[in-house]
Amino acid sequence: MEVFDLFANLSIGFTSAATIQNIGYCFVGVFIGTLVGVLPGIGSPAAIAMLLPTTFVLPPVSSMIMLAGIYYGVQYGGSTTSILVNLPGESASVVTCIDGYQMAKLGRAGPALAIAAVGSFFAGSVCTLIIALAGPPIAEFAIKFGAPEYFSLMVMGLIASAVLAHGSLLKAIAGIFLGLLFGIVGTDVNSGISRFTFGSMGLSDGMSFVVVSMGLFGFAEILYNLEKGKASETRDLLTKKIHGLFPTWNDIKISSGAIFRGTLIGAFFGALPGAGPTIAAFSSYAVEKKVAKSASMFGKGAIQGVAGPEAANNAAAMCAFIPTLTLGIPGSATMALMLGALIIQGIAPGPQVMSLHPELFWGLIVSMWIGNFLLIILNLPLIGIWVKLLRVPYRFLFKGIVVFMAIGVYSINRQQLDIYLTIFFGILGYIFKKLKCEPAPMILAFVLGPLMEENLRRALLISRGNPVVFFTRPISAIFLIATLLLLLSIILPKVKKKRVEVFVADDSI
Amino acid sequence: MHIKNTKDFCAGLIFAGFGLLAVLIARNYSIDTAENMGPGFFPALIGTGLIALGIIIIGTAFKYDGEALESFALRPVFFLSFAFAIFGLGLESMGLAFSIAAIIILCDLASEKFNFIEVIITAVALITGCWALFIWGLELPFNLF
Repeated sequence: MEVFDLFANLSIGFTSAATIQNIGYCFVGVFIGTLVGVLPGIGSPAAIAMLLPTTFVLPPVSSMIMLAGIYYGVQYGGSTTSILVNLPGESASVVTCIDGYQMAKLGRAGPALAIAAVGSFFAGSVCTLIIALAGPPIAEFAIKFGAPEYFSLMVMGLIASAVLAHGSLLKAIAGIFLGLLFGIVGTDVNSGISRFTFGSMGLSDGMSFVVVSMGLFGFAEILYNLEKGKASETRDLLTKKIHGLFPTWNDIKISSGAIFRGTLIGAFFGALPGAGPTIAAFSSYAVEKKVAKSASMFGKGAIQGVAGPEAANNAAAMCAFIPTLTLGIPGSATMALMLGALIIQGIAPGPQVMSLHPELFWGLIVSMWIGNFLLIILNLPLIGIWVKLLRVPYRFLFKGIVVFMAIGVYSINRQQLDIYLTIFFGILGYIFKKLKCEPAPMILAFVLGPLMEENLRRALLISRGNPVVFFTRPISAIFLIATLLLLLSIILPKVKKKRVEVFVADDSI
Repeated sequence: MHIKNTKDFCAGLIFAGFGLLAVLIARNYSIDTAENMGPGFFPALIGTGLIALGIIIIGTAFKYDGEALESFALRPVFFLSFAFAIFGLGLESMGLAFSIAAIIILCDLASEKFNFIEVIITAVALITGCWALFIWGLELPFNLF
C-alpha cells in the first residue's frame, strides 16, 4: 500500500515538476545556485533573499522549485572553488578545501571534482527518496499537534539553532529574543492595535523578512568585506589545466563507502532543525578519518575527505526541507526564507501542505531530483567558466550585488522605508558580526515570532493561564526535554571541546 | 574590575538596550493576564528576557577573556548606506540608470579605490544588464530615465 501511494504521489510530482517551464525554472535556480556557491562573498541566505522578490510573479510551485534549486545548487558550486582555489564558496565547503585543494595541487583536480559531483548526486537522489518516504508519516504525526506542541517544537528548533551555531550560546539566544521582538513589529492580529510601529504606516504590516535578511546577511557581509579591504584584493588561482576528469577505479572503490556514510550523516543533520550542511560536512570528515584504513592521507589529498563531506552537505541541504515542509519549522536561515516565500504565496506551511497542495509538495520533491541531475550535467563541463568567473575582482562583484539588492528591496512595496530598514539591519548585522553574534538564529526567530506568540496565546487560553500544560502533554514535554538536553550538552565539557573543534569556519549557513 | 571581553560587553549592552526599549514601549499596550494575553504580554516577556540575558552577557564580559574589539570601518558604512538610500530616492524621480550609476560611484568611494574608467565600464554593463533583466525581461515597472 505504501509503495503504491509513493508511486501515485511521485506521479503527481512529475506532472507538476516536469513541465517545460518548471524544468526551466529549476535550471535557472541551480545555475544561479552554482554561481552563488562559486563566488565567495555571497552567502546562500543573501542570494535567496535577493531573488525572492523576483519569484513573487511566478506561481507558487515554480518559485519554490527555483528557490530550492538555488539552495542545493550552492553546495555544488562551493565545492568547485574549494578544490580549485582553496577558497570555500560556502561554509560547508570549508572541509572540501582540506583534501580537495591538496588533490588539485597533485594534479588530481579532475577526479576530485568528479567525485564531489557524483557523491552529491548520489546523496541528492537518495534524499529525494527519503523525503518522499518519510514526509507523509511525519506530516500525519504532526496533525495531532496542538498549540502547546507547536510552541514547544518552535522552542526546540530555535534553541537547536543556537546550540549548533558558532560562538557564544548566550549571545545566540539573546539574538533569538531580539529576532522575536523584530517579528512582533506590526499590527497584532488579535487586538488590532499596532505594536512598535512608531506611528508609521509602512510598518503596520510588519517588516518584510526579505528586508531583514538582505540587511543582516547581504548588506552586513558587504560592509564586512569592504572593511577587510577585499575591494583591492587579488586572487591566486590554480591555473594548471585540468586533465582527465575521471577518477581511477581505486578512487571509486574508496569513495563509495564515504559517499554512503556521508549521505546518512547528512540526512540526519539535515532533518534536525538547527543543524545543516556545515556540521554534516565536518562530521563526515571526522568519521571518514576514523574509519579509514590509513588516516595518514588525510590532509594530503585523501579522496574520501572530499567524497564523504560533499555527499553529506548535499544530503543535509535536501533533508533540511523535511521539517520545513512537513512541520512548518525551518531549521536554518535559508529555510526560514523558503518558509517566508511560501507564506507570501499564500500557503500556510505545516502538515496540511501535503493534503491541500500535493502538487506543490510532490512537485518540489521531484524537482529536487531533476535539479540534482541538471547539476551534475552542468558542473562537469562548465567548470572552465566557473573558474574564469572567479577571476572577476570583488570590487566589480559587490557593486552588482548592491544594485540587485537595492532593486529587490525596492520592488517589494516600492517604499523608501524598506530601503532605510535594510540599511538599519545591515548596520546592525555588521555590528553583530564584529561582536561575534550569529545572525542565523535571529532570522529564524523573526520568521517564527508571530507564530510562537499565537501558539503561546492559544496554549495558555486552553490551560487557563497555566504554563504546566507544556509539560503535561506528552509530545510537548518530549520537545521541551529535548531542548533541555541540547542546552545541557553544551555545558558538558567534553562535548564543548568537540563543538569548538567542529566549528573552525566563520560563516552562516 | 575591568572589562575582559569588550565584544561581549558591547553585545550585552545592545541586547539589554533593545530589551529595555521593548519593555518601556510594551507598557502602553495592555498586558493583561497569562490566561488572556494582551498585546503587550509577549513583547514584555521577551523584552524582560532580553534585558536579563543582556545583563548576564555583560557579567560574563567581566569574567572571561575575549578578543579585543577591532575598530569599525566607518567609511564603507557611510558610503554604502548613502548609496542605498540614494537609490531608493532617485528611482522614481530620476530613473533606474541614474540610481544604478549613483550606487556605482558611491560604492567606489566606499572602497577607497576610484578608477574613472572602471566606473564607466561597470555602469554601462550593470545598467544594460539590469535593464535587460528587470525592465525588459521581468517587466518590473521601473523607468530607465
